[in-house]
Amino acid sequence: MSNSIFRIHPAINFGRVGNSDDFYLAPETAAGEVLDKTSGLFGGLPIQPGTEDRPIDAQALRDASQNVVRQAARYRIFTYSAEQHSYPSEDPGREIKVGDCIDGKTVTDIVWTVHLANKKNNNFKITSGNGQEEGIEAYQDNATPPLRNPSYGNSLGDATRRTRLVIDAGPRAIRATDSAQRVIAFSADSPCSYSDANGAIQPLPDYPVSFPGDHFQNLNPELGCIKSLGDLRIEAGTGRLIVAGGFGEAFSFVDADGKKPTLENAIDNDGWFDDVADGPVDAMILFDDGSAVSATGAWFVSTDPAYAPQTRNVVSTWDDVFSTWVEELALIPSLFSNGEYNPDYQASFNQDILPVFHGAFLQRWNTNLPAQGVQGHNWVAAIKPSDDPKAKIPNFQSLIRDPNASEEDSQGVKMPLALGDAQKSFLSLTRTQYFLMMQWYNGKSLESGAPLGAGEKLDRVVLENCLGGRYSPGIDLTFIVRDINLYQQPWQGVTGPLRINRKPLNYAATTRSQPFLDVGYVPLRSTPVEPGDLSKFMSQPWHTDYNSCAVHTPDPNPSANNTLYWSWPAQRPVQVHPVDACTFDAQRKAWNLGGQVFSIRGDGEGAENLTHTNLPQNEGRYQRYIDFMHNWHKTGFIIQGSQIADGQGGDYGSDKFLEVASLYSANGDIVQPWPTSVTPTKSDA
Amino acid sequence: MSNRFSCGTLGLAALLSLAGFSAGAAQSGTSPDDNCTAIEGWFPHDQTPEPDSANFTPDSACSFHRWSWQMFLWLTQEVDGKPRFLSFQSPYTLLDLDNRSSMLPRLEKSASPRALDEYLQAGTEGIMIDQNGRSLYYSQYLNDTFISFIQDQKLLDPEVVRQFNPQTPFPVDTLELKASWKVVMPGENTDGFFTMPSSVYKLVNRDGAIVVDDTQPIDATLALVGFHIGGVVKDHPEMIWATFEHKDNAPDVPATFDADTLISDRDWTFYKANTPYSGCNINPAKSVELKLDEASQTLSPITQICRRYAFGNDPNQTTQSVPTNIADVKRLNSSVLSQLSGEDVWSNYFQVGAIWFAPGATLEPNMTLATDTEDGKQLLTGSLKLSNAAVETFTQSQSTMNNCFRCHNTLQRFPPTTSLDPLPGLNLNISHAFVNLYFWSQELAQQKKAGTN
Repeated sequence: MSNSIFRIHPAINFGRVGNSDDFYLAPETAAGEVLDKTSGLFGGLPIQPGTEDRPIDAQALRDASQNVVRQAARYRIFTYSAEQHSYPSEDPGREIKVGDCIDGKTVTDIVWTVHLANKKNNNFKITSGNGQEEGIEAYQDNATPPLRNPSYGNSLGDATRRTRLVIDAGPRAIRATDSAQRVIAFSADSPCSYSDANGAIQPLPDYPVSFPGDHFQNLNPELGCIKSLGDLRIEAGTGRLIVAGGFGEAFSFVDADGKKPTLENAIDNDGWFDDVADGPVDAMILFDDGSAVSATGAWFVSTDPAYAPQTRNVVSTWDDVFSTWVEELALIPSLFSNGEYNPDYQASFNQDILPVFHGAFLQRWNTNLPAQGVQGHNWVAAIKPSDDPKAKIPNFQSLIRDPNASEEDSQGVKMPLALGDAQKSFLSLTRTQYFLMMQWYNGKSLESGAPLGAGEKLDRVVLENCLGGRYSPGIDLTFIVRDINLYQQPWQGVTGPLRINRKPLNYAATTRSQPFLDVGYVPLRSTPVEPGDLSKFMSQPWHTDYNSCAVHTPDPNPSANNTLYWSWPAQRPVQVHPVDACTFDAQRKAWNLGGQVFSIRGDGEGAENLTHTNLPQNEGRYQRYIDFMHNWHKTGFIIQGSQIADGQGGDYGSDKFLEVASLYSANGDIVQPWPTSVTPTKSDA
Repeated sequence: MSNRFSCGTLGLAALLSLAGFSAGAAQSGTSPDDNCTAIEGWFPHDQTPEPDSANFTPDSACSFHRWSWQMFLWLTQEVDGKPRFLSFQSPYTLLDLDNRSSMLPRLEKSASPRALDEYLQAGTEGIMIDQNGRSLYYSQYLNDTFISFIQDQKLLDPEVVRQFNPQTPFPVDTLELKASWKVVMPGENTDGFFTMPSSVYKLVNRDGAIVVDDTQPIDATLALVGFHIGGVVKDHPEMIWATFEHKDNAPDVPATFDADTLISDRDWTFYKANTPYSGCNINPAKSVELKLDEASQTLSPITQICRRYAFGNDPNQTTQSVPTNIADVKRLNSSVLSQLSGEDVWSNYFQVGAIWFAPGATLEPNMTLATDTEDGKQLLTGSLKLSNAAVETFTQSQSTMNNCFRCHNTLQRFPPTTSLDPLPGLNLNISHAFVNLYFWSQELAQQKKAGTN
């Protein structure tokens, strides 16, 4: 028996939909992190498939047919020599591959199993019965928001709902030594299978696979038909697992009374499926002595495309997860214990402070920040670990919103200057981020903290590339990341931190006549997590929320502020600098930055352009959700200029982040510098 | 936060008691002042006395608007053949430069009109493009009190500024002014405008941006279209901020409107007839649509200006915590203009409004001034939505920028480039001229050190 511990990393990873069969690999570096001080290359770029870490360039974002290339998630197995009782792990771990010798035994194979489902339609609405987005507050005191698709039954456990409203592709297993380079689809016509406890792949011919077309007529077939939730394969030469998600398709269906659905809500649209999904990633490691050991499992989530992969969110999903783990799950007792932060804790400038400043610094490429804002962000991004914080920021508290001071939630002059979480007007740093910033400001910081092992670094980096802070509902994951019930506890020991509290799935008990998946995870309850339970809290479908979330007034808006702010510009770019607007300075042999357009800007001129509006509050989006459903794949991507060939033997320079690969043919409405404000409508009069 | 109010309240109460007014009915006013008319001694225009800022004793909101009008009349009196304000010094004078670099505005030490080189509106870098496609230009002026204060306190030394008492305000009588100018085209009728022969710097496309080329001044006749006054009076170190416009600048947006509302059926200086509201005040500064033709010096797209709040307050205001002073301003305008000679070019300009601190509110460092009230108390009063349509064209509507104090606050400032030092939150930051001087003086020192100046 092996004494070593095995864990799959990253603990959670993300696929992103695209309408191409092709894929690139999810980034394994963090947006906002300078990877190379000489070239100025920032992290966050996806990786070219078939390479260890070569970042993609502009050509890789679309395939030869100009379709959006999907982002696939890559998983590896790390071995640790002892149980974990601190974070970072004292043992940094090492990746294992087939042929490696561990505890005197040779790894002969790794059998991976992944199970994907989409449970959005058999879940609660995001919006509470009172019309408010309350986030996790809606689940307090055993309450829940109303159900989606109530015509199909009034209980999530209803067998009809679980059968018809859940897309369950079932599990698929694959061997690392699979020599055929097979691609196994999560589709109805691909047989289900899983790895048993001995690492043998067992077929599941009676698994109750469920796709929308099995139960409903598709009312909008031009938007796709959702016959697959993605696919998996083995990375050639490494035995790592690669999981890709869906294709950005949507499927609409009538309610139980035969009534056709509408598409008028930003986040809760009954009668609409999309093809994102999530579920567990498992692995059995097989040895030459015939033994098999399971690895601590991971999770896969597919979500919106990464339209600006290098733009870091000032508050990332990592920041929310980290704060939760620090404050509630004793991740780092020397930082927080007994309900208090340690006033003597030394923050890490590079890990805790610079990411915030670089996040702010990068916002300009996805927003219409005026020059003054850009200058301010440039200023803080240039602060060095050796600088005196008080000389660089004379008054910290007038600059950064204090998340511990609720009265500052509505103060629209402090940073971060973006829209806030449910029931909060403006975005705040997490309490942990703010504490660490204050430690630095008060001279209690080191240049770098304790290094993470490669596996734990992957766990962190993946979540650093996702949106945090504003979960209404968000883009990648939502407020559930702050619920300790989502996570496996206790984490100390074999499991390690940041693992999803997965439900054991007994595939031997499957029957075709009964849905396999149950209600699953409900926030603030201890029910374990099933496939589909993470993505089900996101917008239904994702497209409407993406289209909607350009600029808004604060909500709540106690001071009657009519100024328009961005929702989540790092993940959903609003105003961008298209590469075509750059001009070449032959004298300097460098490219000049050009003007801005809206990222979503449509085709055609004037009123013929379906994004056109006379109302600033509606700019930068299609005026009808259905039109974005038809055109989402035309939206361009923002990447660093050094990754964009200029056709003259050079590139556009690492000092710019430019929009490329947009298929919109129009310039759209004029982009004005922030701030813009609401124009009254006739209904306001 | 509460200490911002307590100290000032005591002093003011005592003052008002002596004057025979209750605090509630004094500066904030509870209803329009039927007597808000011009003072007889202001006329004729060439004999308007300088306002007595040192003994400013307000008995109503009207007092602040009167100070503003009187100051405007005094500043526009002809002295040595030109309006008085044109003899004031520019902020660049303080830096004692003979020529501006690419980053610094040019100094004109002589009394002759200098080439105007400011073409971006404050706050939003917006270029206001008139009906001829020409940019508006802006100029700033400081009075001797301002200049002397900076010099006496050695505030051109950035290190002195950083160590300066943050609470210290500008002295009473300090004035800073800003004028906006339209380039007069050949044959264009300028009746009713104050005009002067001057020069502007040529605009050029450079490094992907539209900038001034300070090596290419172009002779031009300029017409005054907007005029800001910021001045310190007794007990008001935050300054009274008043603004004036030419009467033909732009039409007023009606109290009730939407995006499709046609604001006027006639042409104005900066408005084409029958432009809907949705076409007004569009700032193309960051858009790919902004173009400059260097040869003709014309830009596009043309800006259609609509005056969002006719007299600096919202006619739809429902709360009476700060009574609208629209009526006061209109009555005072009517009174002044009726007593100016029809031959007096300044009779074609009017006060849009003025704004100042409410009773009890005290200027302090690090004030955001982002809202009109703080902790439930009135912070700002007067014309709470005051903008000059020809100076702040693009920020008239946004509640975060729609009066002078939104930008004229006492917060710290980060520098335009990372080689400079930031400015701590000081009471003096209420003046943008002071803020600019702080950064310009650092740039100048760097240039001198590098031997480029």
